[in-house]
Amino acid sequence: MSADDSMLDTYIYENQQLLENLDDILLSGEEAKSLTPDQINEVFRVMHTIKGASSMMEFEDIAKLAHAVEDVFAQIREFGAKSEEWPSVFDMVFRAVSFFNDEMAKIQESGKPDGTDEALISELHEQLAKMKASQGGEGAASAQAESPKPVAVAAAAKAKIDPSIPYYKVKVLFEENAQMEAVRSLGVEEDLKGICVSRASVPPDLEEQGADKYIVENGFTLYVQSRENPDEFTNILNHTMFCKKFSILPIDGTDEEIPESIRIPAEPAAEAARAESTPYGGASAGASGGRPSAADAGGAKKAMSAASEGLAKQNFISVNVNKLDSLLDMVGEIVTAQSMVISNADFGSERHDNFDAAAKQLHDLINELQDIVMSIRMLPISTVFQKMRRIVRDMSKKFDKDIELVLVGEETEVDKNVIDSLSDPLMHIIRNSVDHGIESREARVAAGKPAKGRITLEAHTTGSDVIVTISDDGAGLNRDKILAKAREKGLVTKPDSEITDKEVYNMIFLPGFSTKEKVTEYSGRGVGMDVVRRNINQIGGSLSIESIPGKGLIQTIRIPLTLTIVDGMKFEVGNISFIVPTASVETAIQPEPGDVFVDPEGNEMIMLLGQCYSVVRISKLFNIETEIEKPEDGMMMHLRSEENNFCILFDHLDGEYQVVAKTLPDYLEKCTNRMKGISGCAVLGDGSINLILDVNNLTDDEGE
Amino acid sequence: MATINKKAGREGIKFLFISVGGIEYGIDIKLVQEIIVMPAISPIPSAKPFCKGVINIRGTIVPVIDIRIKLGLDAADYDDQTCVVVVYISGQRVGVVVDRVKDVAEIPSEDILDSPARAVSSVNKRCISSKIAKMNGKVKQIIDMDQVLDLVPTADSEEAGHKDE
Repeated sequence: MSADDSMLDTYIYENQQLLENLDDILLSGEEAKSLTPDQINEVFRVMHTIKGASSMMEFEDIAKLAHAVEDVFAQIREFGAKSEEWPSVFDMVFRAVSFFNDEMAKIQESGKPDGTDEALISELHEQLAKMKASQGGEGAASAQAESPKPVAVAAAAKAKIDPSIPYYKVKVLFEENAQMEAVRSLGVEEDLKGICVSRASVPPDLEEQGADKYIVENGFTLYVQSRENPDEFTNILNHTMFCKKFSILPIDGTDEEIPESIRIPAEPAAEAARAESTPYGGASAGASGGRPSAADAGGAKKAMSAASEGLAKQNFISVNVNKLDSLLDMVGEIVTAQSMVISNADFGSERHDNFDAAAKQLHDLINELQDIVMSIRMLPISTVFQKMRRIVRDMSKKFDKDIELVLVGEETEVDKNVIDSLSDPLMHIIRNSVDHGIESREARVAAGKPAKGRITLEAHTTGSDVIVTISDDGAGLNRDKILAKAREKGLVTKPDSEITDKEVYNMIFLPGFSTKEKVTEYSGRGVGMDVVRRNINQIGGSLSIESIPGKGLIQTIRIPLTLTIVDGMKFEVGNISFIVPTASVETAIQPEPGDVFVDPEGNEMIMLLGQCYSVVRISKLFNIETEIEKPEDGMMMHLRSEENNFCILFDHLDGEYQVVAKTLPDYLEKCTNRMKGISGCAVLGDGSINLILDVNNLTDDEGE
Repeated sequence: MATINKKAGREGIKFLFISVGGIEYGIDIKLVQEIIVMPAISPIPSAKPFCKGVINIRGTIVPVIDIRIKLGLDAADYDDQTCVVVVYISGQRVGVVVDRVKDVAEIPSEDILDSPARAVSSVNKRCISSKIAKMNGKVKQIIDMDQVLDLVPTADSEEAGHKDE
């Protein structure tokens, strides 16, 4: 990857993080109808960072918009905002965030942004002007007072150094692949300048050519004078992105390390005496540069703890997902190799106690390794859920509906794959709910419902799956409308009375289906639900819907937790080996002659404990040649899953194995006539590849 | 001279030459990931005749096809020189069983020409070799791997996928 590419990646990744953060702040702020000073600062900082980074990348349009928002927030930071000004401020910032997100997506795709939102920029400028004007005379005066300030600071810095104000050495080390270190350092300086009386940086000129390199090698150091508590510094520095560690240490004002511009010059005894008498005792020039005063020691301790706190908090690193995938694969291979060693034929059937003990320990360690690796990839589902808040907000505004989004079980952790694959389907389902499902305020009130609609997003795990439910209290699916549309498209020929509700509801999954009259920006293109279902199926999941006319719609997505370790029963049919997850196996059966009979429709059935189950011959299902003809020559297993409950007939059972499940390559679709009923494959200790049965999808709909 | 000659110019293109049913064919080396001796192949159910099954290469499951079938030849027994050439096309890794692997040679662009008699797959009637290479007075066919593996979407690829025998 070229340096340019990784710079771009860094730029995109960071901005996306910042923008996500921003969305959260804005959403809660909008509800509270204003932002706290901390939140205002945060917004300002984010815009500032985006402006700086975008300028560096020469993405001028993005930088301009960020600048415009930054200016407005600089104003708000100094002078606050009136309550009637907030709604439009929120609105504009949301629009800016959307713009930035769109541009980030474009950059990710093609390497460059191409949008510009001049309209929004001028609106922001107008807003700023309005806000400044409404400050009245005070505004004009302070606007003027503002400009002399920097000069005053500079003047003070050169002319007079107040030795009573404590000095600190702030040092920041950035992550190895941070890039743009000089810009980041500038950002740090900006962030800290508000609480410093004077400051000087090393390197002094951050816009100089070699600044990046210097900072990578030596870190960025800022010597400051500040009356603030070092904790303030810690708070600010904790927000610095890509900061590996930072430290804040008190330092003697006369220390030669400090750049001359703010250093206390070595002084005659008289001044030293004066300095010593101050409570801060920071400039104890007379006392051999030591730190004798109690107050000073206290300050030093505080700064130290602030420093170590700063070090402790930088505990996250971002990892390329490909590396995690490789790691997971490798762990899987280790599990298989372990199996090959432990069940090695060379050992025969003799008992080796020492070996067994060691083997058990190996087994336990590997299991633990695997748990850890899998947990690395697990993320709380809130990352997906929170995105939905923004969608509901935007769409509610767009369709002029009042909707509340309730999130339950956000902390449920799922594999990153699942998070990535859930995002689009969830978005589409929620859009449908807002657009089609929830009625207008008037219609709801007329129907005796509260004017505010509610959508509930819930996630929880069963042992092996993650269940995500999206329910709304809208109107549910409209059977008549759907049926009419289906007839219109020629998809239905049976008379209405013969079609069950379930069948009608399933029609929305047909490609190209949509009952929406107008194609809106969000839905109605009619490509929706079938793509949604397919996306979910691709990660091994399933989507089911339940509609209660007039009351609402419940959509349930079920996704298998991870595809890795499966406990399964291995069985063979002809020359092919299969594994069926033990969780789905009720019992194994050795049929006697006559146990299996044929029902009037020609299906094979068996009676087990008073219940009748259909018998599925694996050989027939998958077209495999086998010598086993009569059930009593083979073996059976009673399988039970979410949707299915039946028995399978095969040649013979090979035992229970713990296997590493892998997905089957896509290309196999072109190589075989039947893939349905297989959810993946597993490599066994002997190197053979076995197919994993997908009990839910094994038989065709409605039984055999 | 458009498709194979992506790097048109004096350099020419490197090909891996393999032998199937006594005839030599060239495969663009850029598509070839690795060559392995015949591994143990695990069969898959309802396999189409050209698919032998799947193999495990360092943790990745790779389908294996027998190019003899695609070329309309009878299946043959494998011997100690039979190999699997693993190609990587359109994001898919596929193993191709060949009788022999011969060598790698660079063919100058001017010696790569359109094939006068187009070799057509007996399986799906698709053209699997549209170019030939002139080498030392002999002519060798260049295989269009994406056509052989049916990885290029063509107008009829949808139905070909279903009706393939």
